[in-house]
Amino acid sequence: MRHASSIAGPRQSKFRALLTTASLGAVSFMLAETAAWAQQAPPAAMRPVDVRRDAIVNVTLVATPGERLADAVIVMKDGWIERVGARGSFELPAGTTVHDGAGCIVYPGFIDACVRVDSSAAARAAAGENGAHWNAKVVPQVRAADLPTLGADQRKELRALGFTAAAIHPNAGIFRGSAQVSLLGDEPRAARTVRENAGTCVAFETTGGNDDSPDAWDRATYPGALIGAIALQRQTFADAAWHAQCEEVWRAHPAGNEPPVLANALTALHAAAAGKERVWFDATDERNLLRADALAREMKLDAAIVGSGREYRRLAEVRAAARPVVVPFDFPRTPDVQTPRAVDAVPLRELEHWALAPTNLAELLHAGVPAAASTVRLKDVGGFAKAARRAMDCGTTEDELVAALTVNPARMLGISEVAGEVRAGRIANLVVSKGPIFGEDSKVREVWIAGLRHEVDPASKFPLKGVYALAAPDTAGVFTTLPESVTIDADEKRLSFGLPKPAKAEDGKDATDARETKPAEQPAMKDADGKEPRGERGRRGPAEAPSARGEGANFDDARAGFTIAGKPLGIEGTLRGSVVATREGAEIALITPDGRTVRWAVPATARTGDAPDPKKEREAKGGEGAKDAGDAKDTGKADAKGDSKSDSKPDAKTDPKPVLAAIPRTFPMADYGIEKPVAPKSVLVEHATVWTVSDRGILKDADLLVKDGKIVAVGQGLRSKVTDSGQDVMVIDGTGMHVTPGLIDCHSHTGIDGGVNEWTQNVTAEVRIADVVNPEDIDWYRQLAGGLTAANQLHGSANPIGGQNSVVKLRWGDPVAAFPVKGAIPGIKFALGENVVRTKTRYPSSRLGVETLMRDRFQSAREWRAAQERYAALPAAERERTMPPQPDYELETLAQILEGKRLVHCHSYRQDEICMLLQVADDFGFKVGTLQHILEGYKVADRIAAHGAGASSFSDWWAYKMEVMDAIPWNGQMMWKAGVVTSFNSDSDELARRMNTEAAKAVRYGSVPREEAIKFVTLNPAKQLRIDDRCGSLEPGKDADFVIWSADPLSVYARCVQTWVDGVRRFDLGTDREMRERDLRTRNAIIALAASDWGREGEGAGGGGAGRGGRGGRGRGAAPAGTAPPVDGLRSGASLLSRMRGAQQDRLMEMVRSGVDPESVRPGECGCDQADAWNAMFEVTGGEGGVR
Amino acid sequence: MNQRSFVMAACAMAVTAGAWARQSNEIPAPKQTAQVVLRHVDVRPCTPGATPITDGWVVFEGGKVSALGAEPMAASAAKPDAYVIDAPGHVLTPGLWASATTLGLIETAQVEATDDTTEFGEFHAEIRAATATNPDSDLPPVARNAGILMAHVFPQGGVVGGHASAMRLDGWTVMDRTANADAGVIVHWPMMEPVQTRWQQKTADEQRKDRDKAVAAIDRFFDSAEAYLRARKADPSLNKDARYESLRAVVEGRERVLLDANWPGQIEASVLWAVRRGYRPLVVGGLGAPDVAPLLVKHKVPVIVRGINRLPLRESDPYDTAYSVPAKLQAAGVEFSIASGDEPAHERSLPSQCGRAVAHCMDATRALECVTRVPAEFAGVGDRYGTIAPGMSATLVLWSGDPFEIGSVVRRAWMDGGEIDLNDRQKRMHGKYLEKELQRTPMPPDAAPVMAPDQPPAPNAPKDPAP
Repeated sequence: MRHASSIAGPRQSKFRALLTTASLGAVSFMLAETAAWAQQAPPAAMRPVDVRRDAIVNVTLVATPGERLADAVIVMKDGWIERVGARGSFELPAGTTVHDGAGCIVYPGFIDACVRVDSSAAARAAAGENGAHWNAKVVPQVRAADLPTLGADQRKELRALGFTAAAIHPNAGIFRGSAQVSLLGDEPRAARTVRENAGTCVAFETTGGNDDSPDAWDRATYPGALIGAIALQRQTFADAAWHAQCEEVWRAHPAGNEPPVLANALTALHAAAAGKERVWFDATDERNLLRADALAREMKLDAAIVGSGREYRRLAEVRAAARPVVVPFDFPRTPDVQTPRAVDAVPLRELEHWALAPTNLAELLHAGVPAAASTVRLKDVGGFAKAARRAMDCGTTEDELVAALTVNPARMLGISEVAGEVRAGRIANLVVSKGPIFGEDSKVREVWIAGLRHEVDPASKFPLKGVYALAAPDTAGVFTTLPESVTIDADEKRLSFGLPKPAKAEDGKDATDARETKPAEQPAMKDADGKEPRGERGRRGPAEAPSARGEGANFDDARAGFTIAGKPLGIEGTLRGSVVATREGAEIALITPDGRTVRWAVPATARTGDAPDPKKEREAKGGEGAKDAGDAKDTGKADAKGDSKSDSKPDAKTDPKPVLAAIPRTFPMADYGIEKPVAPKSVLVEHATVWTVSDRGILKDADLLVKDGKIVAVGQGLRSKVTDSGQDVMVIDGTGMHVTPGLIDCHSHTGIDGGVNEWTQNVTAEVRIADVVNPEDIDWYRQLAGGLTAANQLHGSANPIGGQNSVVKLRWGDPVAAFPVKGAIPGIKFALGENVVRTKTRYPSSRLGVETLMRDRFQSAREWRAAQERYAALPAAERERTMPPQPDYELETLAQILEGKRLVHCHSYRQDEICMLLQVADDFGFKVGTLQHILEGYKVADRIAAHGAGASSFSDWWAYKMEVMDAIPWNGQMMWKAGVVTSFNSDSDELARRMNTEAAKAVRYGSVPREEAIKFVTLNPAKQLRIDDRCGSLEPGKDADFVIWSADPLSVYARCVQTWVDGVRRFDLGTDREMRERDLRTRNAIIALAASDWGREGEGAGGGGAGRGGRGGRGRGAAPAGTAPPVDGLRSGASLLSRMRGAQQDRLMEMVRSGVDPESVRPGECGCDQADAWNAMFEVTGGEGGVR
Repeated sequence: MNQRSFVMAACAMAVTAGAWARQSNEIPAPKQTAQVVLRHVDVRPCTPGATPITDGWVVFEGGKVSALGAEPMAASAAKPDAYVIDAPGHVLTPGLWASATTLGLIETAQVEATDDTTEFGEFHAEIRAATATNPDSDLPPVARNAGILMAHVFPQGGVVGGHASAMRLDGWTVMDRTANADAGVIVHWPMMEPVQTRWQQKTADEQRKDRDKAVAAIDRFFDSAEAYLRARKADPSLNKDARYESLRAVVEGRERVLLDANWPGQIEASVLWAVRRGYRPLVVGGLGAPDVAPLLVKHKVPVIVRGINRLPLRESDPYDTAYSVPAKLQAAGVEFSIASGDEPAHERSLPSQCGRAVAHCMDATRALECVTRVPAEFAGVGDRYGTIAPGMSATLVLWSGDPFEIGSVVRRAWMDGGEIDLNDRQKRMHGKYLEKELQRTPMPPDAAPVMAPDQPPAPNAPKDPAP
């Protein structure tokens, strides 16, 4: 009692402290007895006495990762850990129930930081309430605490893995609601809430443009694309902060103010928006993790990440983000190496992901990222154990794994004061494991939750275990061969007899086999199998692997029943057997088919040794199998499958680590990834034909000198100007070559994740392409191989006022932060004509409404800006008592246009709409940046020139729709001649690879001088993007963006030899060839691993969807065969919508079939055709597992 | 020699052909009446093994080439009243072929009513492209300005998609224009490997099952056709089945089966299928053909390479995969032609696509054959079209320079000896809006007609039209 009293004090005070903090909303932990008993029915008979002090003894304790105590004692009282120590270091209090955990290891109870529950019904309800947000996907007011608890089966499944507590996350919507941490026991007091509000859950979910109801195909709902989801997050956090401010103003100054509107959703976000409550972002890939981090920085949020398992791919950036990450264990399936040619279609990124996914946790931990392992995203939660084992095979240590399951999640969830370690004063949550956790043959035997034992795989109570010598039976002469020993192992449900070593069985072969295949000291085994009588197979019993049998005998606490083939004992048919056991010994009986009974009395003292280790036996079987294979008929087949390999070397399981270590760590981790960019301090290109794209024109036999990423000089004899030492200068002999500035594409949709169109509203000025730039898109590299160095990434053209653009340089091999062109004026995509009026169920549905809508929105922006300025101009005291104007990213963007701070890039075709837009701009006092496509520009070139807009056109595309029937290839020349700054663009992942020959068409159609034609894809787009001070020509002081061509760049025979961006070589023909070889080597090594026993063992590991596919992680082309990516619960079902999606899928499949990548953007579509289908598909995997 | 120079006016509005075509609405060429002689021209005969003739001559009459050679031409080679065209620096080629195209079947992709490319259902072997290639489509005249005078037109859709047809791109009616109505039966081969992307909801196993079902359906269709044809042979009174009747030539090996297949697995499976059945296969698409070249060589299966300006099939493929397919097939000894793989409105990219293949190590002479002689053979009219040789159709293109360079312009063209009107819709629109400029900046009333800047005078045109 000494201990009890000494511990009660601190424990209770801590409990009070927790209660206090709970009232502040930080931590609530309700282990009070009253809470536990409140739900108990009144006793119907005598009051039950609850003895609640247990001790586990005779175990190894891992109190916290890295802290081991052999022969430990753990005392628990009333749900808490009371005392921990070595045996004998203290006295057990009287009345303690002692549990012998002989041979077991005790770990702190595991904590799963993310278990999703279906909250769709609650989300729908919340979205329909008073005070709901306008967007049905914004339901932060949903509380996991209000949702039905996890089902008993689900809790049991988690407990079987050692989990004792879990954070429950709602799963529906973009703002999904708050998480809650609960215990995972069965009884009320073991299922209590540890922390009621463990943060608010946010996801990058989209609707694909449609809500879930079957009749809603035509009803576009926001957000349809990833850009929209992020914009909605940004706006909502800003709204919540604004709403909180309004409430403050209202509380302080009710007089004269209108009270803030009821906004349950925003109210639920007040704390999170103020950075006082954790925000859990569901990042379905590593890029979304970085996006979440960026948004959290922008909005000053306390963010944590539910990860994708792909974080290792961006380790440096993830480390810099320093956000806690919940790591899923849904490892991909092993690539399909059996279907002919299937594995050839798998991108290297997916092969590498298959190989490296199990290293993700360790990589994060080594990088110092707080990481927790979780069952999240696993289709089959039970697969977690296998996945954990594979993670350990790949280098995760036991301590790291335990940390990721205990202290790390506890810290992330803010419950480390009460959970995560086995220490006095913590909740009595324990895992009792036979053997090291997740070891080869380890099993979780039981978990303790709040001091209550929950058995998982309990040790049998059968009193005997081991090998026992058999004396002569009571009846002689029944058997011709008498067994000499019996093996009893209730835990393995095994009961087998050992026959004499020089077996005198009539079947001599059996005996021989037995001698050959068994260690001499081990008795030959004859198995009892409770399930099926041994018929023919029984004959070869001794020769067949003993470990395959001997399971299935039916044990209870003191008895066992079994059957056994009689042949080895000299009896035809099957024998029935029974065992009755006490601690003193056993009675064994065998009954022959004709009813005779033979009995043995086996005293406990006859024990000769331990029951054999089942693992070792399995291996022994493997060896035996290999020998048998020599004369087996099906050898050939087995060989073809590669089975014989593993059989012949049972002990040498393939070690994946050398293969994993040899995978080059490139950026991106994919085909053609860069290990280290070539970036000499100075570059000198000599004796080339240099297209300066300046007044100097085309210089023959000229040099180009570059230093520190800038052009230093262009002209003859520059070698003398080189001042750096030899090794820092790269000298390139350009004899016979041509050099031009890097090409610039003023209309690109390359490298945009999650859909280029947020078409669900007619005005979406708030969405930002910059939010979703994908630096890993392979098309960047392909375009570099065609001399492209910069691109204007535009929103699609499905709505009149689209989203904000992003001007990037193609810095393949660098993280996304390196992509934006510094100093580029921000822009926005507008669109006119057929695309924007295609949706007939919204305004505008004709060209007439396009104009009026634009005018209306500009007017609105003007008024909104005025209101803002009025508020800002108020004297401080006055401002304090005035309701602030609501933040509005859409109107803010439009106001920037009116202020000349943002360029309009407008998709346009017909002359009437071109004139309309220019008139609107003139009326509102701004200048249109570029008219995009502008295929009828030649009809009104004078008007465009008068306004001063640039023209960014297709060279010669036409006829794909009505409004382009009048397009002519002389268009560019005619606008150029009229004085319009004219460029040719691609609007295509493919065409952007050969913009040089697009320029040639300005010569072909209209005889534009060559020096001017090259400007169509260099200086002119630079001017249109307002980056001509640094790009577009080869002049001293400009960025060193240049291309070396094998011939005249306007010739179809010219090949791009090298492409340099900012003085860094981003493409080189020779390096390209080396990378092909390197990637092939990596690919073959991984395929070999996939074909090994390690690979085949991974079949279905974790049950995760393999090959989520992926163009830069986007779903490019074919990927490994496996199950489809998991689908979020909210959006399953065979609705009309899903059937239409099925039709879309068939369309996309048809494209793949005919060799077209459905994700590539084609000219003229402007992301408007396939993208729609694409977005609809997007939703299917949007919630879970979808890689964008 | 009593030669009379045939003077042609070349202007932007109408690169018209003398007296017979005063209108600018692309009047089809009349039958050739006078012998035409081209002199001092670079001739690319495209006959097997032939090399270009620099400074050569060609004579054609009655719609057929009668003779050709290197200068100097013997005086006796031409008739006294022949039209003689001096074309130094110009290149003469056979008319180019648009292969595996929908030219004529569709006008504007997004206007459904103009789209006759696709029939309902999965098995419609009986339909023919020739039936509805619109002779008054605005698209072929644009293609002709890229030297494309012939087309192997493919209907789209379905599994067994119907008959491709070989079409002349000039003529008053479908009858005039049809060169071979039954130029192969198209089979769209299913994807053989499971595809795993984020939009793919089916598992690999489900996809394999779908695939097996699709392949079995193709087999069943052709099994039935063969059974029907056997039965009908035995009993000619048997009711006719239009679908199976249309496969007679395929089953008997007279007409090709056109296997639409791009992925290596598709090509392998479809070729093995056709070989097993004893058909004459031709692979269409063929981006993955280099991967299975030995199989194609072994069974002598040719390929229509559908597009050089294409993205690679797979992320892992080199950036120049499609660019270098022709060079690889050439090196491996596979017979192939080149198609643009583009929309019919953009067939004009075909020559520059060939140029790109040449830039990526393909032989230039072979490249030209890939858009002339070889596609003509694939379309079943190689005995008439595709080469410049005595007795062959005088379907010819006169280029201002290297046919593959973007800067080169088609100066004149002949279809079976008749000179083609090279005007088109785009030139009309160009001229119309040049007129707008003209009205805004008035010129002296006696000024010359507006000239398109890229239309320097054609050979034999007056040197200085202005007074």
